[in-house]
Amino acid sequence: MTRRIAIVGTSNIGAPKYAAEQIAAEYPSLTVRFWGMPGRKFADCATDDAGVFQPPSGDVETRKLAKRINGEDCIDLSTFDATLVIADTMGLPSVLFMAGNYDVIDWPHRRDKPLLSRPGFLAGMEEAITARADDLAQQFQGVRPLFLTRAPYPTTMVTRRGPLRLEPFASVAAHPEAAQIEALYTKALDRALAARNITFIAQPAETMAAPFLTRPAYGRGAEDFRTAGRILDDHRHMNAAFGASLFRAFALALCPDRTGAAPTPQTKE
Amino acid sequence: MARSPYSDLPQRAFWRGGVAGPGPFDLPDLYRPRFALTPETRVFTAGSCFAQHVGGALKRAGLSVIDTEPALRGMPPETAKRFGYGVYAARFGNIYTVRQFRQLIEEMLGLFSPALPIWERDGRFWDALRPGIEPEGLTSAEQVVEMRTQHLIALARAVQEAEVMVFTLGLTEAWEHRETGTVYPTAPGTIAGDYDPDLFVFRNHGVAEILEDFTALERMLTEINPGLQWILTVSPVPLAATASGDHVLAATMRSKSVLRVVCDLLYESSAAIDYFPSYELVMSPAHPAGAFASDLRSVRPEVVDGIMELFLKAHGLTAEPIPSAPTDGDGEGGDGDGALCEDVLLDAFRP
Repeated sequence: MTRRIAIVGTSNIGAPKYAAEQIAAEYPSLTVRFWGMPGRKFADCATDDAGVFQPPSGDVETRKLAKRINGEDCIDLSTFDATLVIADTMGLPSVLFMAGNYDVIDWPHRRDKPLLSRPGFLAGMEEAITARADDLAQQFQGVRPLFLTRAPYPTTMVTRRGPLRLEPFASVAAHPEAAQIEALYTKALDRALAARNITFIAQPAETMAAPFLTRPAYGRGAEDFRTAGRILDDHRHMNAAFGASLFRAFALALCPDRTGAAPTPQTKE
Repeated sequence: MARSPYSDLPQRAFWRGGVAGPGPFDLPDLYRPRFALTPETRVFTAGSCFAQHVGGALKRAGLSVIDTEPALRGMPPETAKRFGYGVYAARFGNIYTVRQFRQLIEEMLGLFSPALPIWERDGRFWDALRPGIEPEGLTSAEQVVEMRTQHLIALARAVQEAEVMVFTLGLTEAWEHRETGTVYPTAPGTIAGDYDPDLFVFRNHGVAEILEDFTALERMLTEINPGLQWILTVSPVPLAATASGDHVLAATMRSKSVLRVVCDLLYESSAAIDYFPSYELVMSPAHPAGAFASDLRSVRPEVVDGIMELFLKAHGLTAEPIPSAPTDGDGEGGDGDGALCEDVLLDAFRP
């Protein structure tokens, strides 16, 4: 039995979109459809009562854009067996700025920053995540089963001085508690999404160079999700190899009670 | 018509036309500032929970409101507020009594060392002098000391920067350490700690004591900032509970009356002290739907907004509009008007 999977999201859907051939080869029992919009436009889209995800009805320009990018100005998610949303940064910038600007008093290292209690740090993290989780839950109201992965971490290239540099990732790269912060963030995000009946798909470990940072190899040759062949190389968007890895993580999370037997890759790396 | 000493008085002198007739916030010349606040004025805000509105309105009006322990980039707004960041000039939490403010400045100057400064509950530790700013407490007593040291340094910076102190007097009732006189912003056992009658005693400060405390406070601050000016207000928020033995209504009236008398005496004593009648504006009978929410304690958000608008207008200032606050009058406890007050926790001890 072939199961239909929708991958919906921001410009970050480019990674799995350009891995479509590899995904098809690895998972012949799954057919995958992609539908994406640039981040800000994506945030304005929502699912109607019938399960159709689309731009606001009166927004003719955005509908035109959606059609130009995806061939259709909407996607009926009710016709799919599972939906994977590739979302934005899900509150992470707030978390990283907090981690960079404060020393959490429970942690052993001090960097001469103002002290913040651990409950204060966790509350800030939860508030930042909750705001985004609520938005997403509202945006995809009624869509089941729903999976979500956040925008990929940028690659280590953004920690270097120069045009690719990205704060706050650069400042947190050397944080002595970065691993703990990432574990706390991932757990909090997973919990917030689970409370809204959304399954969180974490970024695959094999793609990670360090907490909050992706291996540079996955950033090279990344293509614009709107235009095949247009290379971005901005190290914020990832390439097809990343997309294939991410899809494997998603496929593992598909449970039998949702889509039939859990799919397994037909090929091994 | 016979001459009368009232015949040449302005509209503001007469109840009819002065209160009855105009809207609740259109009272002619109710507040005539003694000195001007400008966008450049460095304002230090402190006081009971009602003072949180003052600081917020001044910030929205573009004044230079001092904040030496601000919420730094990344901290979301609700968390910042709940943990006392960006609420007052530093992270000292609500200051309900003049004695508490005096004690804080004495501690900052090294003149005073509070007794039992750390309270414990269920293995967590609280700063007994500002328990509300860490709602979940800290992991160890050492952390409380470390955080307090940081706070006192930040407070000293705030005091040095101040040009005008806006201070809202909230309560006369307080709990003291019997032996040393250390006062605490909350009763022991409310947020943390435990009430031991051998250690703590209830005190209801009178006019003379509060004047003495304020005079000492003012002297210390004037030594740091010789030109310091004050704007005093009295919080209109009633007591959540009283330990005086009186009915809570009578205790509230007593408390507010004492504070109002103190303000009047201080206003008369110095041209550097102004008084803003926020208390009167709330208690005025001119509010068609009453000034309080359904709990009869939280000031309705639109009343708070009207009061602050009147204050700013008197100084020739206007505030940026704020996101609309709930107006259904269903305020829950002390934070129904958006301000965080520890004393509402006393409600949990009702029979």
